[in-house]
Amino acid sequence: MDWTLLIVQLLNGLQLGVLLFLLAAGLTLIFGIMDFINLAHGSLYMVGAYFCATFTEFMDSFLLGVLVALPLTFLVGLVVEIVIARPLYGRDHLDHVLATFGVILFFDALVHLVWGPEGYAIPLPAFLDGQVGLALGLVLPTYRVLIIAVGLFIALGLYMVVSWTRVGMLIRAGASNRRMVAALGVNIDLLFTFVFAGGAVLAGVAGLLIAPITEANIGMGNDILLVAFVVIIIGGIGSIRGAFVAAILIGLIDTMGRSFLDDFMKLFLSNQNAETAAPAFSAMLIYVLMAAILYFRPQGMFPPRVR
Amino acid sequence: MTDPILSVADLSKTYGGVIAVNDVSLDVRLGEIHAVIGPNGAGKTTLVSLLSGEIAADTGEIQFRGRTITRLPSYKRAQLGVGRSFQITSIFQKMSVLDNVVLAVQAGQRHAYFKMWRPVRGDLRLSDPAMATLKTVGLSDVAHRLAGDMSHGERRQLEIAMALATAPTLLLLDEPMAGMGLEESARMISLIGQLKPRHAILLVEHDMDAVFALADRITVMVYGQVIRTGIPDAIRTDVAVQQAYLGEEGVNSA
Amino acid sequence: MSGLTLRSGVTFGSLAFLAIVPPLTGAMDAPFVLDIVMRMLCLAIAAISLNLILGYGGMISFGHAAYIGIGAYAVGIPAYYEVYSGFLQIPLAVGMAALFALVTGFICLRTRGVHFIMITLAFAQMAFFTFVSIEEYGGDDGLVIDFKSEFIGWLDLEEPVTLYYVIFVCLLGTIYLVKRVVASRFGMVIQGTMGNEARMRALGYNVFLYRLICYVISGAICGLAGALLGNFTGFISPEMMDWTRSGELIFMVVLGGSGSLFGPVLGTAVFVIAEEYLTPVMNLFAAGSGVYWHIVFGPFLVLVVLFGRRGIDGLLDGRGHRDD
Repeated sequence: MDWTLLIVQLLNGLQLGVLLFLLAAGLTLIFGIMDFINLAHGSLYMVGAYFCATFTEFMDSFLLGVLVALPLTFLVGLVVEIVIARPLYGRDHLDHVLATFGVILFFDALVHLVWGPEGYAIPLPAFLDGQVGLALGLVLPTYRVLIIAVGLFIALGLYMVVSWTRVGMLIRAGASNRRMVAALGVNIDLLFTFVFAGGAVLAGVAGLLIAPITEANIGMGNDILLVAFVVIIIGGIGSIRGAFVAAILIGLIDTMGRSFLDDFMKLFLSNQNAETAAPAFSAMLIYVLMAAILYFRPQGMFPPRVR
Repeated sequence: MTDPILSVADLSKTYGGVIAVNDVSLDVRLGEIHAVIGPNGAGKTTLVSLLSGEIAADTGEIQFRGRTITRLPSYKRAQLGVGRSFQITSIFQKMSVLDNVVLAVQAGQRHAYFKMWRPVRGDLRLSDPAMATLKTVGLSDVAHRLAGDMSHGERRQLEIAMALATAPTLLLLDEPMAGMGLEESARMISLIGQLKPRHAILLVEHDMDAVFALADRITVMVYGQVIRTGIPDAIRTDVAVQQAYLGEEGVNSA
Repeated sequence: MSGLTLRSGVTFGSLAFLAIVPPLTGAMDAPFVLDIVMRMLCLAIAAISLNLILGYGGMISFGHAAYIGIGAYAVGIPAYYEVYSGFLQIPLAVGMAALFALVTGFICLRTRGVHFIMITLAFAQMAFFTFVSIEEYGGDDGLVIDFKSEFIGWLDLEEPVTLYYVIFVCLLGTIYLVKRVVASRFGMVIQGTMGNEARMRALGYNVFLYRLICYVISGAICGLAGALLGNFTGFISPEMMDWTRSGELIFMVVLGGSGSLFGPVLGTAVFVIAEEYLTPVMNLFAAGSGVYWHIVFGPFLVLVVLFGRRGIDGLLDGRGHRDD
């Protein structure tokens, strides 16, 4: 048993989990509060990555690239909310799905137009590009540790905002009883826009965090979006805590599954069969998990109090 | 003395700390109208939902024609002969009045799981009983109107028609007179009275005129519990009932 | 019934037109156009099958493309082993699709709303990943079939015109089948459950069972569409089951007018035409812009949702009141 590999993959799983959380947090709030299915969330993830790539190159600084990408992503989120989401609040979920599907197509093509079909690499500054030594003689790429740290920090910050601020209280209330919040005389439009655009920024952060590793590329949002939906279904729609737990869980299961499932299956299947079946099973693992949870506990792990 | 059609024993339902229905027992016989009254929040609609099977009871037992139905899902109870009208009108807005009742009539006939070939339109085995039911409730003139286009009173009539069309033995009527004017209420009272001989009827109502005109027995519920069951005269003069319920409205009654 | 004349005129006119497409394209010497229409017909059958559960039953499946894939592979895998008999492949396609629908429907139909959407999507993804990982049948790269389905002594599908009419007849059959189902007692129940589920239960209907049967029929028809599509393209890949394909299918149904009989065909036609011709049209305005046709198509989709929700059928009907 290669312990080093195990721990490395555990940390990789944590990294994926943290990124999934950034995506899922916005998604679950948008769904929980505005009852809006936002397939375009993956596009915002992509847009964040591309903005960061562009400005990192322009200003020759990753840090500046990040700092400029954030407000720009917020703006894009704002526009999407006003133009697409707002007219559709209260409408059938099918309408949300179709409209945001159209937004995905649009953004994919737009990015293709502006930045071309090739991926866009983001070079890391020297101090992030190295490795860092952790306990037990483990050595990890600095950047990956940073991603985990940033993700956890944001999760903590989000938790504090949602638990201790007035806005956070409105968000929590809205997640379990939208009508009540409106009745309280709160400017609902503003709250919704804030939640949507805020979610967009979180998605953008996830995108720009992963881009130095995988490159910014078209369609990067689509696949991870599905996983993010699996996360919020499992975690419970409208629950940030649920999104966090489910995201970490999924991140770990998916990563560990891909790495170790073939070894695991070799315990009772022939080598050849294990090698063929494992990739399919590991890809399916999270969907099987979601199907199981939907069957036994359809409201998810931590559903917010009933409306 | 024949056995009651519906027999409820110690029925309870709790919602997250609030006891909505608390140890309720009652029975309804064939040819009887048993009214359930009580102030708002008394648990009357919850009781109806427990009896129809939409909600599962926590404890207690429900017997229908000698058969225990406590754990049966609502559709199975309906198949056995439990009919229900909803407090909030629950019809098929986008279909015609006739089609609404046809769906109900069809439910009372053989299963249609694989009946995919013959069209419903023009099937007299469905439209004849449906029109007859509409005639009984007084809606035959508007049979081809869209259900969503009808007045509130007409919709309540359609509610009853649908409950009737499955030819049930037990009728659970949840505030059939809700929102009706004087004339419409009178018509509804007359209709329910006509249904009495061939059905066992549990009637939840706020309209005291209707209750005292129709009921053979009355059960009074307050905060989920039964405080009295008896004949109308006894209930009318009962002190506890007056205090808990009628007292609030003054002595206004039939 | 004011909308009826225009709508039935468009329906019969379209069908009459489709009937004469092969000689028409033959005379114009445009086999490419015949191909486009053939593909459109296969997708139209799939769209009609989706409309059965989505438009009439209110079940929004985001994984219907899986049935297209299953149907296609039911042709492709036997072909891989040099078994080309259509008498085996077609029933296999329909049967496997029906089986998949039965098993997944049993689980999915216990959920509703967005959970239903997600779980149908999940199962389609599972099917997708399964086929991607089977290297033997091409995996990600897909499978090329050497010969189309053979119906020895009866039909030669290698002839494009023959294949076209086979697909066309299947389309006619599908429309007729769905027409009868929707007008039947079974159809009434399905539409009733979309309108008011609680009421249906209170009347005594086992809603779950009715929906499951409807779901299986829908899957089976879509499997047929997949088998026909696989025959047409001659190339079968997991991409046919991608979730974006399921999304496109939903769009075709909604664009045409969900809950209408012929709407899905019209919606598919508009979609395929847009897909094929938006590119060259854009190139006319700005050379090379055609490859970005989604920049126009995406917003078009949004506009349809915002303003044209009743679809083409709604336009033809005028008042927006169905009288099926």
